[in-house]
Amino acid sequence: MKRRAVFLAVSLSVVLLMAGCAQRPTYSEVRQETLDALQQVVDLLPEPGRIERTPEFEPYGCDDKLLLHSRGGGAFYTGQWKVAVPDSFDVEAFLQQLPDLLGAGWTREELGVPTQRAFVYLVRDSPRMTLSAEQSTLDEGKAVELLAISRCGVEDTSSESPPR
Amino acid sequence: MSAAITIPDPPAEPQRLRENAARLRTTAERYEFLVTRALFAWSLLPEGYRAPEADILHAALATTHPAAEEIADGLAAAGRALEQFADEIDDLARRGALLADRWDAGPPTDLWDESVGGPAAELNERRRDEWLSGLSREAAGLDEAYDDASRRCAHALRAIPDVAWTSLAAWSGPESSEPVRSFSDAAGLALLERLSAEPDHARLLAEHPEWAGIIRGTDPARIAEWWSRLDRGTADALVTHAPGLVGNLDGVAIADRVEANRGRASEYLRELRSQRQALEALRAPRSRANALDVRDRRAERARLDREIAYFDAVANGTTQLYAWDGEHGSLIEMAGDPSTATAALFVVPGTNTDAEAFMSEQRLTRFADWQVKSGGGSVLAFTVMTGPMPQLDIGILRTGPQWNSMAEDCGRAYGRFIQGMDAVRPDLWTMSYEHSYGGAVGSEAEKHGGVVDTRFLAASVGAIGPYEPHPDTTYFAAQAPDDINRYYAGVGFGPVGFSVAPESFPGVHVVDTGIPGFDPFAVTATAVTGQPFYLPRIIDQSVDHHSALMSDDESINGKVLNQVKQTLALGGGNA
Repeated sequence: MKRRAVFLAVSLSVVLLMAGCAQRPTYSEVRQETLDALQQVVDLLPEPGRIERTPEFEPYGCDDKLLLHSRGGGAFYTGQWKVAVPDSFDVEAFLQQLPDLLGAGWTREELGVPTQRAFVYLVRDSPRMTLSAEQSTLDEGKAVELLAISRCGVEDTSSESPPR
Repeated sequence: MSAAITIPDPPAEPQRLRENAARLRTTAERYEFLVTRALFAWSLLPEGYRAPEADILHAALATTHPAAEEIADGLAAAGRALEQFADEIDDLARRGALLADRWDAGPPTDLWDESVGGPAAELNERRRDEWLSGLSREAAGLDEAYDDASRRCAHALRAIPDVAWTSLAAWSGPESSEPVRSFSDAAGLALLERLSAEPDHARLLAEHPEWAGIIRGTDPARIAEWWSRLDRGTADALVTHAPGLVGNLDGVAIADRVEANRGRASEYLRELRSQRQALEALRAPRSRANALDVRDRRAERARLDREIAYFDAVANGTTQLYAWDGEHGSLIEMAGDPSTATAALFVVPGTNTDAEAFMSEQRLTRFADWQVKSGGGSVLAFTVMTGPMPQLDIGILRTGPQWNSMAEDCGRAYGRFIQGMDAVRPDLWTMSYEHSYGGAVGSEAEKHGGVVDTRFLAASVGAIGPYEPHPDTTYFAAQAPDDINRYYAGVGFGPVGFSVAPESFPGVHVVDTGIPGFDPFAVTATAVTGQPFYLPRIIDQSVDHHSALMSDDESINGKVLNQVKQTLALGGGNA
């Protein structure tokens, strides 16, 4: 009886593992997801000014042992944009409302460390994405800084890696 | 007598020289014996008492042993030279005594009689003159002989090997602003002064291979002070001609270290390329028995290619090396711009870190690079390997992460690295991100004076007990709950394990990762009892967690990256 339970559990885990592996997106897909999410936030700003995009990060391998959860293969995409806003714009209030403005699927999580400026840390379940937004400065004026990290995507061999 | 001669006096009294030489000889023998005994007694001390400052004292005294040998040999050699001198003086003094006797005996009596007539008086006079000039010549010769003996003695004394230590003990820097406190610092600084004064740095270092070790043991703050006093020309000359020393010396300015290592990389590339060519030139093995050779050769070729690519990047300035010392197993890569940085991040990877991990396609420096890039110029990051780290491979029983001695060794070196950074850039706010075994390295560094503003322990093993957190440091701990380290963090005895888990550091902020962990009890019970009774429970959980992780690992990783980024921004902003 016990053995059967063990067998079933092992079989179930194998099935789930394989199911998980089969669904992995490509790096270009997760890159696009990230850019879309960033654009989605920019579209919520009433008067977005100049956008400064940090030059593309090198794809960050998901199997980095220095991270808490390394998983074999694939890489995640990081997008970082700074968006200028009018000086009269209340960034703090905007960050407070951001989870609601973005709509279903996004939830606010506590980062657990003190931050220097107004900051919000958001997670979307599907497709998985983490997005942080904080008050910043651009061209000596007010700005909102966005940092989005995608889920893991399998690097497509055709795409060239961007310069470091 | 119409003229007089001077018989020279001996330059020293042989009897007193011999007494002094004998005294030197006895002292030399006792000196080395006493130092050895003192060191032996000193080395037993840590068994009874062990405090952080004891290590510094211990190191300071330990360096006196080679000095004792040098000094004892020098004293004995000086004794020999003085005895030789005394013997020579004795011989010459006998010559002098004979000369004096001949002088005292007076001039030769007249040989020619006046009665004969003729030039008798003249001949007798000439004979006396000849006697006198003969004595004068001999007296002058004796004088010269004394001088020669003195010169030989002086030469023998000078030929005693250059005992750096004797001059060091009495040394106090001509320009040093405050008195040097420790003997080893005094020694290191004196050698640095000598090195910078000498035009041929490389020759001096090659002739005195022990110097590098002494210099590296010197307080980085003292080195920083010395380096800042150097004129640009001397500093550049040292960077060019002593790059191995400068490129790894804590306390030397960041840019100069990077430049020194860049120069070394160009040099090393030539060596690597010729190795690569030699490998290419080997004939292809024909027989099937050599299939292994082919495989090994292919692997070696791939390894060389990776190394060449890496050092190419160092030589052209894309990759910046802050330390590179194959002999001590250290490699520290820097990312970012020191001129704009307000915060410094030290990433200390753990188990399985080796030089190849820096050179592989999935580079070890990604975490540091990501923080630099997202920090917009305010972050200077270092990926730090200060010595051999444990490996999860075939040698796990000997070099696995269960042993804590590697953390002690690397921790001491990491402590010096932090002190060096403090010395050259006291304005930078500092954070240490320590992964797995790296956590123990950071904890050991703290015991050796390597204190940072914040330590972030990620999936860390913790510390070797007893452990006291530093009052000026803020601690964060983040764990992947099912991390393998969970099963032995907090368990330790002697050289095995780490008895203080990171979550139990007093005052630590445990950072939530949002994922429940495995049940360590079930895993341990299964492992210990060998019964499958607990297995369903583990598999159950692991399936749950795995499913969760399939979707959640990005958010955990994203969280850690953000936590470190925000902490750096906060610290750097307030620095």
